Amino acid sequence: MKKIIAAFAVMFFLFHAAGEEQSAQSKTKKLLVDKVEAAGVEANLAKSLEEALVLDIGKRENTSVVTSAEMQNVVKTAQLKSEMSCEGSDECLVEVQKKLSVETLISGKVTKLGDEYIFSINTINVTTKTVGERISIQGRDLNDLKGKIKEAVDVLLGVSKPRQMFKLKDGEELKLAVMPLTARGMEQTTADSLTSILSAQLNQIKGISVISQDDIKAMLSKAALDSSAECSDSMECVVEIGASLGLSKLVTGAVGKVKDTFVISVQLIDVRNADVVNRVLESYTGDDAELQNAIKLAAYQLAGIDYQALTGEVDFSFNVKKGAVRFGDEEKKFDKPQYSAAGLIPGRYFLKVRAEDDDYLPLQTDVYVAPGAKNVRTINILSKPTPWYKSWWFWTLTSVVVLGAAGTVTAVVLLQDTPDGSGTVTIE
Amino acid sequence: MMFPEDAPAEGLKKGDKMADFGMRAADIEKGKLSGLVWLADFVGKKDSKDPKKLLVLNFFANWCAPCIAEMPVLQGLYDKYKDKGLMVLSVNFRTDAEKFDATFAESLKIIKEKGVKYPVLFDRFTNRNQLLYLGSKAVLPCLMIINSEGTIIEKFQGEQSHDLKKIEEVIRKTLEVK
Repeated sequence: MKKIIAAFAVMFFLFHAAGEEQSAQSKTKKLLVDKVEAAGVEANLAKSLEEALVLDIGKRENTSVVTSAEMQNVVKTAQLKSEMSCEGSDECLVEVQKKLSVETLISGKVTKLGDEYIFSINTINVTTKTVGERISIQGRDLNDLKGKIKEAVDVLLGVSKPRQMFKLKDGEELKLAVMPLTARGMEQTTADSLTSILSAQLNQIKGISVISQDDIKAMLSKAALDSSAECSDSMECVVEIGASLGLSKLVTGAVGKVKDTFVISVQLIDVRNADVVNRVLESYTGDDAELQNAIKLAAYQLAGIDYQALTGEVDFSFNVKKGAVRFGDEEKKFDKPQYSAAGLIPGRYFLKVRAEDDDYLPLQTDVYVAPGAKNVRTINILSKPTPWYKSWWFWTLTSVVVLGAAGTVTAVVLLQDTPDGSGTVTIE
Repeated sequence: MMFPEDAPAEGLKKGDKMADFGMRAADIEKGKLSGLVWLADFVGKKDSKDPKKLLVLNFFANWCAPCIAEMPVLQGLYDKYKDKGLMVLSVNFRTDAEKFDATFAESLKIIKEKGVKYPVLFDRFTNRNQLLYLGSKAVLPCLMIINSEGTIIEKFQGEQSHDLKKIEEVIRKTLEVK
């Protein structure tokens, strides 16, 4: 009898386990691809990238994709957004997607940096309302970008890890030059400062020594003065300078600003083969103060160093005393105008601050934690614009008008009612 | 790798390892610069089929008459021993005062006149690599013989460079030509 019960128990367990496995396998992940934002580029390009993204995700097993256009048709999202009075914010979109029982929202933005397009894509977990994976791809044109979407989606959906092209091996010695970063949409002096930070950071990495900026600048200025010989593209020139310096590798790149988005693009070039062996692209929406942290992170990524263990810290102070702060996955209230955290894995984090006082606007920005560094910032929360009916000029004007009107009325009344003293009084 | 700041004032000498740099070769027929070449690519160690490869590395300047005079002799040596594994390279040296474009145009004229067929290399950006070999006083002519391991086995500089008999002797000995 015991054997029969045991056999039934085993069968029940196996049946149940198989059922669970089947259910897990057949579970379809519902994703929504939001409209790709065109920041300073043609709207058609953004639309084509959105379509390519939808096509790639739609082809994958166990995924179901909804486009923003479909969503709008079905549930009149725009109306919903308007009703929820949160137009344009990720938080609002998350609320809308919840109603559609979508698990993950994918949003994108395409900008142009010099001759190259930068397509940044990120996922937002609808349940936890947190930003998940982020990835940026760089391309010369639409086709170039489209060709890189599959790999980017693999990383976003956790199918594969980002491909690391170059890794500095233990004991390897690398002497390299950092060419002056090109400024796009910002001052060259800012780009020069970032070049110095990048050089200094690379120089701190064990095994890497960076030749001085003075040497490079001297050579570059000499080249500019000296020769009109053919040098059809900048890569060719850069490689030739690297060869002149006897270097096997060098770093080139650009830093730019498109609207409120900053982009850092740096490449490690193998001089002998005139080949890009590693490429790092960091883009964020936030303050230019974060550029130095972003470039420090880029230095480690470029050298292929595992920096996860080099945790960092943040120490932010605000101009509001009470409110709520969300930093990465953590959300908490504060009653001192300060937020600090330690032991943070280096990378880009999303920071949101909402003051308790209703007179302030919520702040959303990206901030960086560089490997082994502390990000100390004073963050200014902007106050809401004063409504016209609360403004001083409105009340001044109103007072003037009211007083003026009152004065006029009084004057008129007094003038009309006052006897002129020239009448005749008859006494009978 | 050695950098000029690390080099001795007299430049690299016999027994030192060669320093590797990339420079542009002249396309003599078309009269323009061609692709980048690296000095180390001309030593024999990378070619196992030709372990005896020997590099004669010569430096010249347009204003150095003895350098120009030895060009046809070097061409003769190259023609005579190239099948035995000899490679000859000439590297142009120019002072900071000389503009590249003018120097290159004049060098091309000289090279054509002297019937040079072996590669002639130019550096558009710097003369620091040449100074590493020549030394801070940049004494010309200067000729070095580098074996397949990248080691400088002979250095002829200044008047010594005219001793072409001795140069050929070293070549014949190293290439084991009877």
